[in-house]
Amino acid sequence: MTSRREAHLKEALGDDLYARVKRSRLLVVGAGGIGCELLKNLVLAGFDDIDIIDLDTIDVSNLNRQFLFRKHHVGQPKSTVAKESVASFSPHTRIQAHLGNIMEPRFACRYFSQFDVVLNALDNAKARSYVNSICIATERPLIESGTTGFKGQVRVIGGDVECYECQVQTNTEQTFAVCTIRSTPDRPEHCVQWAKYLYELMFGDPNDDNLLADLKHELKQEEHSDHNGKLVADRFAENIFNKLFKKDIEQNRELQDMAKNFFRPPPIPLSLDGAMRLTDGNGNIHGANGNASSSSSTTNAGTPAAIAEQKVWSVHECAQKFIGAITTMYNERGDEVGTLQFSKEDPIAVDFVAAASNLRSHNFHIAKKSRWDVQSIAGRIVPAIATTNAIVAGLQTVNLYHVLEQVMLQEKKEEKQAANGTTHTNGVAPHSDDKRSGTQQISLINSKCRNAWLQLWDSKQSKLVIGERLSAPRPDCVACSSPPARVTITDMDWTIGDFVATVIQGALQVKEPVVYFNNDPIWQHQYDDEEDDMDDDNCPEMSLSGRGLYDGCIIDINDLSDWTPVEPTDDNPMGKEYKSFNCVVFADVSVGSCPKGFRIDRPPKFKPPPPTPAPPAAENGSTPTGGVKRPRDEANGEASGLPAAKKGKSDSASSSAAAAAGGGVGEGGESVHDAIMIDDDGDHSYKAAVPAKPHQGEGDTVADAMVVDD
Amino acid sequence: MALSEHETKIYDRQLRLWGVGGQQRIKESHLLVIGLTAVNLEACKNLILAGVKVTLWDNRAAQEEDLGYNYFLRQDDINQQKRLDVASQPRLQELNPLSTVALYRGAGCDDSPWCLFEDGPAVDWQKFLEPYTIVCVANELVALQALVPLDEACRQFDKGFFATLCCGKLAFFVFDLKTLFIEKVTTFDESEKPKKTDKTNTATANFPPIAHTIKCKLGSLKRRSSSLFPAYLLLARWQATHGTHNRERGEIGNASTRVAECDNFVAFAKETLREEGGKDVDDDLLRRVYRAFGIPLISVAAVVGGLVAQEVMKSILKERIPFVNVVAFDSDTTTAYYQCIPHSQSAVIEHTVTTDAAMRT
Repeated sequence: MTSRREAHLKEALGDDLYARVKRSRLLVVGAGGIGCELLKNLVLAGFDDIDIIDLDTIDVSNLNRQFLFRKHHVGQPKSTVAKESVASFSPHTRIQAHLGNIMEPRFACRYFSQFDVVLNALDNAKARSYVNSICIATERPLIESGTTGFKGQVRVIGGDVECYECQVQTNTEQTFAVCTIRSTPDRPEHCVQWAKYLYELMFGDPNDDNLLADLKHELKQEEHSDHNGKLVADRFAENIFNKLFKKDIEQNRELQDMAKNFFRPPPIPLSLDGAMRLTDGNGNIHGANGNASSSSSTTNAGTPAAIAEQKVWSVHECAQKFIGAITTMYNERGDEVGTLQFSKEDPIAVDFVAAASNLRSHNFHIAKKSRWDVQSIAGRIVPAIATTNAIVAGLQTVNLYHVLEQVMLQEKKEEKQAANGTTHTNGVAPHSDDKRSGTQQISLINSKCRNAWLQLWDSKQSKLVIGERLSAPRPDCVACSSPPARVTITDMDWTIGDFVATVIQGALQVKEPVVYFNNDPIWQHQYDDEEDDMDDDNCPEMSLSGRGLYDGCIIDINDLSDWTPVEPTDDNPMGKEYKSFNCVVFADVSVGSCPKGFRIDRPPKFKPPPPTPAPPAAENGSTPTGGVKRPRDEANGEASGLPAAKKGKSDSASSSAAAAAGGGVGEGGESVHDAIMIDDDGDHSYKAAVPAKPHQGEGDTVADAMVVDD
Repeated sequence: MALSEHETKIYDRQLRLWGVGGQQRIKESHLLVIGLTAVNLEACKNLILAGVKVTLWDNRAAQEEDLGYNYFLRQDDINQQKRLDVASQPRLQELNPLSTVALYRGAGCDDSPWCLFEDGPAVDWQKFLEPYTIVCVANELVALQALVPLDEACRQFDKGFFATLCCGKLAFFVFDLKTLFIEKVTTFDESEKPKKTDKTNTATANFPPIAHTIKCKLGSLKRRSSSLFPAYLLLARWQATHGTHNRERGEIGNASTRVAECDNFVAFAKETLREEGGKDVDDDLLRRVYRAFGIPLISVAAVVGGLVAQEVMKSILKERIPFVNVVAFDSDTTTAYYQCIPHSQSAVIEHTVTTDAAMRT
């Protein structure tokens, strides 16, 4: 039944696509800026069954764009409020809202397998990378998105095209040299970073990354206690002030003199008394230019109405705020001292960092910043507006239809094969709740799907939204060139010993396995001649679930008998790079009535040789591929395949594309079940064969052979 | 007009993009929306959230179909046959209590916007436009040709003009900001990194009147540009001569005869292209545009409504260069194109000013 409500939709999509939309299940990860827009689009785009996950609660600063939320919702979970808001205009849609982190085990592979398509509306690289990996493991198409201010883009991932990790992530986060932060700052950002380290040092539990860690001891010496042994906060604050902004700066000045550093003016030491005497309105004792911070800031560019927060404090005010923040912290929040982390929402933390950074800026002749600007820098606040989020969520929805068209093509192809009897599924449904139980990955490469991004006006351009054809994956991509193997066993009550002997050593033919779960070894191969049994912490009798493994978890398997020599390093003194692969373990009783039945759904594919170090994850809102790509010449136009930057690799890409993208699944007709029999052409493909001790009965299908008795 | 503390909290993330000064400009702007179509509603939502004051005008009665794209309506509104503007206003207002979402309370015309664009007594445009800074009209409901007098008036009284059109998987808009001076050309990265440059750029965008756009000879369109542009102009011409509007649902002609009419449109298009020396346009595209005329599709409306709002914001903030003057989006290629029609060398003129000079001004 199509209501009149969806008459236009059906007309625009056509009957087939409309019908496929109606029976699709979607997962939306994130109910923030993009998530709200996306959820609204999906519901009006005809989708009736959507899960949405978010771990966050609503903040007042969300309300300028996250339009499903109202002021009275502040503090409530985003996911559930989004669901309720959508229900008010689309009561028939089934939305399941989850408050939680997508990286929790309950949302692992088993959960992902229910959905036709996954749509990301995330704000951090870590979660994006995680969702990418689970989508690869479960063969779900993924539509990725990201915005920062006016910038925005969408990427379509899955099957035979680039994954999230394929494109080199340029690290958009600013990194500074150690000595710049410690002794030669020349930008406000350097001082803000220094002040954040200082905050952690004084009120938190600094880790090894804290560049000022050695100061901790010195600061301790400035503590001043009364006769009862109680810390006197204001005296302590005074001492700290004079140490940081006077004594240390005097030392710094001497060092610079010795180094004959004539290129920068010597820093100015500032005592607390001195600071308190400085009362000029601008707080700029050099008198160079009145509005010191306007040079690079658009936020307070001389507007008469500039609000208090956006005013640049004088040195005098900075000193007061600095002393004030320390005393308040010790006197009123003493029990938190030692545990705090900098938070942009904590007013005292922002006061402290703003004051300390500006005092240091004063020391080093750097323009001071308003509290507002310091909060932006220190909290890495990413500007966000409704317009960009709306466009990007729209582009995701446009591409969702294109992805579903490819899914339909794939399903038709499989139907045909099933009718011709060319598949070897032997009647065992791979997963009872698997939405796409098909045996091949969908092909997106020559589809209408586009990676798209927003464009600035440019005299040489004629596009404001650029849609670019998808490219083949990078052959050496750490994430998608070796998709995890997939094994289904009857249940997670198998003992580790049985699992290793039967599945890993038996079926998967890993001779000397070391098995990791969550980076923790759960099995280490023991050599017969090993004398010392003390190291043997294998627990063959323990069940998989007892060891924490769950239905749909991913384990990492290394083979000690198969390695390639590499340059020895401290971490790897033997210079052996062991062959390894990941493996998803599903539990499903239907794989065999026999007690220890199992099935190999997808054979292993070894990880590529030594991975390049992963770039540090950029937090909060950096666009997924690290900024906006360069526009191609208009002359290149739509039809030319890859952007210039990628042209170099296209040769190798085409030849290896099939192997890398297909994930070991043979082209054209072979199902996963016979894929285990074939040695595909990939260099790193696993030479899997029938188990050493075949339990083949009638031997009509390979899948049968994989179901073995214990 | 200073911002309250509450406003700075709500608008925090956008103030970090365009500052207090920008937010004040937004506060002083006022958009009149004529025709609550899918694209216009999306644009409204974005602009209301940003803080723009919006006045709605659409006297059509809410129908079941409207629920498919207008998420500010409820079943009750349909049952009570409320006017679209009246029914949509409360929930649009809820989007941002700091902004104002009003209903048109103008004089005359039976309170129907459509008679503004029909032959009749002359409209006092100055009085009509006085409260607003920008006007956005649904092109589904009024032919572009009929909007020429409004556009002329907008030029005369210095108001922004937008006309939007959704055709299923395709969507278009044309806009006219007459002359827009960009005081300080801002790029994407301005807010992220301190820019070490001794230059401040300004620019001037010069928009042709809508009348010139409609009349533009098809042969003079850029040869290499997308076929969407000639298709759009052909539709506008057809609308001008054959467009018997079914105003109720924003369709050309009668749905049942549309298939037959489609052939007439294709014939008209081919003939016009030949006469004016335009490059050939695929029959298939012409049919797609014609048949899908006025069909709302949320995915497309979200993109194009966002792009409309983005250009409206440019007219308010004067910090970035607008995409003069026709924009076309095709969801089959996920690409939006823009082109100045008729072509003009002076559509955008960039100026580079050294910092010293910039500081003096």
